[in-house]
Amino acid sequence: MATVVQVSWRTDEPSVGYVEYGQELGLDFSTPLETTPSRSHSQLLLGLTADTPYSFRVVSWDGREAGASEIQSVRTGALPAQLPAFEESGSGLEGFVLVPFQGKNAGVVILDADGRVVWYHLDTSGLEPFRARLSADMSSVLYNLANVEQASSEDSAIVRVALDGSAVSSIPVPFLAHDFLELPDGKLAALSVDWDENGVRGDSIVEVDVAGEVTQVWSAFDCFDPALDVGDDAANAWTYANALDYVDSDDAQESAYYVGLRNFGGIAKVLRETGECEWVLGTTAASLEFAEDAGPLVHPSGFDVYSNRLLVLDSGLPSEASRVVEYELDLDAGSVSERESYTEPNGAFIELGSVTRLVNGSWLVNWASAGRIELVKDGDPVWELSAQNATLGYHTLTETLYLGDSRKP
Amino acid sequence: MRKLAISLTLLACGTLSSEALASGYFNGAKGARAAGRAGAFTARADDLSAVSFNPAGLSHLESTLIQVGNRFSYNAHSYQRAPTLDWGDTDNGIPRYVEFAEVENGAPWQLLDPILGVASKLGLRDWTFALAAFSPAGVAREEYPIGGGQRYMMVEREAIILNYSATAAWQFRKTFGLGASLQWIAVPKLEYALVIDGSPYPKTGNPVASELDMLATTEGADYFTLNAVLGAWYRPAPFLELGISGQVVPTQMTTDSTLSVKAVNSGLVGDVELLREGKPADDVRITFPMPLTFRGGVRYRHLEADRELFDLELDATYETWSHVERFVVESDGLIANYQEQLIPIGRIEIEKQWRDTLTLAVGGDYAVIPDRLTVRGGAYYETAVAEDAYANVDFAGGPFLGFALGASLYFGSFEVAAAYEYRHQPALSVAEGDARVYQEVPGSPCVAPYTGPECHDAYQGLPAPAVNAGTYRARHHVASLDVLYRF
Repeated sequence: MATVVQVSWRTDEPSVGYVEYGQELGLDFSTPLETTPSRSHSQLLLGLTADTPYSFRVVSWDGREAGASEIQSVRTGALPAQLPAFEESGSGLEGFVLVPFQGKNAGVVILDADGRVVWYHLDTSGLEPFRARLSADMSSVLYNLANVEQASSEDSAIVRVALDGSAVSSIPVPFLAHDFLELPDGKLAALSVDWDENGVRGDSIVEVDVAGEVTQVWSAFDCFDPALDVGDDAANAWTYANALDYVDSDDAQESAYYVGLRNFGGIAKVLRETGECEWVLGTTAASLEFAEDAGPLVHPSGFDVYSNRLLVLDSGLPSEASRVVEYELDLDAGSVSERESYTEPNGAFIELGSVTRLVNGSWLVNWASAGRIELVKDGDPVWELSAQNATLGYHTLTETLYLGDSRKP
Repeated sequence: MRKLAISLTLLACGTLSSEALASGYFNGAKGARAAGRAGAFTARADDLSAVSFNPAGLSHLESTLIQVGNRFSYNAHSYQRAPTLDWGDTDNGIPRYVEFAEVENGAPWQLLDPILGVASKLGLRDWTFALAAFSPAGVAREEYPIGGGQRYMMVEREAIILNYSATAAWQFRKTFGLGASLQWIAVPKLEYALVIDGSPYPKTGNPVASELDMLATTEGADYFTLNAVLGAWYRPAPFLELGISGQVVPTQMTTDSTLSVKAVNSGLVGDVELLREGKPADDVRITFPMPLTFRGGVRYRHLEADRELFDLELDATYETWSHVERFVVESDGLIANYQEQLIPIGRIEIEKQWRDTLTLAVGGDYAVIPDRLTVRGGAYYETAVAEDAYANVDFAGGPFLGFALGASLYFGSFEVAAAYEYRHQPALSVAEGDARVYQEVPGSPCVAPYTGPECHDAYQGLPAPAVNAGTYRARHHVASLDVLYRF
């Protein structure tokens, strides 16, 4: 991995330490402070850009005294030519964007706020990555490999790549759809295509434990009836689930999945414990009604659930411009009102995309099919990233690449 | 009488404190003749330095002696604090690794360190009496930058100590002698300043700097402390002389002082008001224990025709510095009021945990041209007064090596004695984990055993960050010049 440096050192006494690093002699960044004293230490320097000289030094603390190594230098390597080029403009984004890419080549990259690749992985499986996430322990990148077209692939998998690039492992999960996530209990949850006895293509949520055992925990057929809830493209794919979110709760009964059902023009809240569909927002089998002045969902793609709000990228119809819309849910009244929206600035239809709400209220809008990500603040784009000759998958925004406190990255 | 009055005025204006070749508060030997032989003077003790070295030695005098002298010194002390992690100023949870620049004593020159006195037999055959005033040999003033790495130990101190001695000595047929000095020790000025962290918050841990850093300065005086030195000598054979003496009165100096506290950070507005029981007050008491001192010397006298051609003396000095466990600033309930934030000053204790010291000195005189020129020299070794863990910039506490050279020229009744002395403390390093001088954080809610949730995670079990880790260096160049008039 040309943009990751592993620093190892030994100390005479058990100690904790961290590595300071930066360009020139700045040493502006650091790895986290180790939590367990030991004599043998190793840390990764992350967030580095390619072909760049860096300085670093080790700082250690044995609970009695501090020590530091001499300042050392290292130069990162060059990026593989197979990676797409990225262009960035504007400002205002902080952190890193983790995103799969597709096109002539496929893989996953982590980009810094300046649009520079700080981590990458090329995938030659022939399947397409649609979602990439940092593992909960921040030691690896997870991404799915799937074929989301009609001929869903039995060879699909969730791939784990160590951040230092040293290990790649694959967890087979047949018939994966677009999205997956890591649950607080360490399991993975993924969308998977599911067929009924009549050959109707629905969707399911499967959970994958640490041993790789796959268990279906929910099926669209549990909540919906293909005969009654037809959707708008049952001939190709009945529900066509394409996005998954999860909100954990101290009360296990409240923990829930949120499943984007493209061909229902909706999103369903599915209780993890029971598989019950608590509510459905959309145009098919809906339990919530859109307010009169709210534009209903047409073909939702990636979304973000927070509080009583739902931020969703609605691809819409091919003849119309896609948009991002924020809905406010009034579950007591069973209604949904539209709060804000942002239309694709070029008036383009975007088949696949995702959106994240930042803590400052800005939206990170990923027009994935167009290979473009925007930071939208108060309705205006302030930062933009474009991939050349590549489309993107669902992104993940992360403030830092480290588990635990560090001087960013 | 007029000369004496002028000299005493000079003393009062000058600086210093002193003892005869000692560690702790003092260093080196007082008097050019004693200093020139590296303080190996307990058995010889034949000038006014004897009031401290061995009062009995004054009985050697054959005539009246007036002695005036001064000691000039260059006291090069430096300290470089050991790097530390600044847990008080973390950047996104990561404490910065902080290195400190070396700081040096900003007041290395000490130009006034006098001794004067008169001794006379007053017409008696076996008795000698002396009056002497001197400042004990030592480093009177040290000054370091307020932003330096030492600031939580000390920023500045000045100690002016004057010793007024009245001595009586008696001898028996040049075989043995006894003597006693009654000493009145006056401390007209004692100033000590250090930075304290005024943070009143739980989990306070600011080893490098605090927003609420305060410069705490005490200044005061103690005009009356009595002490006594007893001594004896014995000459079992003409060529051999033994001497012993001791400063044997347990005592301590307690100054009535004032305390001032002011914010270090220029961004802080307003003054710190000191209160006691709701009323303005600033009086504190500072206690400095004094050691007992025991000296012993054996001197070989090489005689030619009853004249002493040269001598060689070996001395051992034992001082009970272990009495000094800590410097205590007792505020008797003073409370600092800053912006309505009330911080109890309490009892500030600067840990010392000193230990007894042993000094071995060897030195002698050689009459190159009898009655015209005498040269002398010597060397000594002092054990450390402070354990490394308690090293502090206020007093150099490590072991010292020293050597001295000197000479006397005689002009009739006058003797001009000069000496050069070099004292060297090998570099002394203290690791933070071993350091035991802690930052003063009077407002901290973290109390013994310092393991509660109100104590900073990085300093569990400690009252505050240790602030004396680092490397200490000390060397002294000392020149002494005395004029002795015998009649």
